[in-house]
Amino acid sequence: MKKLLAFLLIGSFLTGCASVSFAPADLKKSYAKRTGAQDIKLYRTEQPKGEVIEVGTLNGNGNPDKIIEYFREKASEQGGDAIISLEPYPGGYSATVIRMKD
Amino acid sequence: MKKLYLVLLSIFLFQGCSGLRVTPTKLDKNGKAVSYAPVPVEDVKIYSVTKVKGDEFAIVSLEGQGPSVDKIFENFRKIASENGANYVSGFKLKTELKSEMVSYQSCSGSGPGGAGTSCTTQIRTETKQYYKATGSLVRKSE
Repeated sequence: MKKLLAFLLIGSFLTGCASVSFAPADLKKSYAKRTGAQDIKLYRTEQPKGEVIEVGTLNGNGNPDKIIEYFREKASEQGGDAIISLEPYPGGYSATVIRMKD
Repeated sequence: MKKLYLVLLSIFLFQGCSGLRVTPTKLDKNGKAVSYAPVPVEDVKIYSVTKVKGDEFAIVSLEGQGPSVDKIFENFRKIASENGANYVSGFKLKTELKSEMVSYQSCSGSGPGGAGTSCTTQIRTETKQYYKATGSLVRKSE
């Protein structure tokens, strides 16, 4: 039974699981959600024009497609408009959530 | 027994050194590292891309195993707070998955004085996540 559970866990990790964590840049500030997850833009070497507020940092491990999907969801929940500085590492990604200044 | 030593040695080599390093980058007139009075943890802001105009006085490097970015931020806030920095700028995080050989020993049977006990050592490969986080401590008057 234990072996079966271990197989299922490993299998789900390889085929589709990802874990994502977020940490806010400023503990005293929170931002209202205004951009849907599907509209969160991803940037690796560039960033949107205009003044931005840094909302926080994302880190994720596991399936790359899932990580990006969860990054978008997390960024949207935290009031972000875009994800910048997306950096791939062995087994994961880190990135920064930003919000455009009004 | 030899196997066990080899396994422990390989684990040590795989892990390498880990820990915290705070390197002062600014000296006062007497050649001593510039220091500031501690600030409340909740006042510390951590930025990766935002440029902070203030007095940058130390570099922090933190390495370890496992924690998520919110735990790493918690540790960074504590270090910055104790060192009197109200900002951490240029925060960078690198994570890496490493395979390690871990040994498990199981023993069975027992007789008088431990006679009749047989032990077997199993070696398994486990994947663990390591991180390295760096940032600069900045004091900015607000």
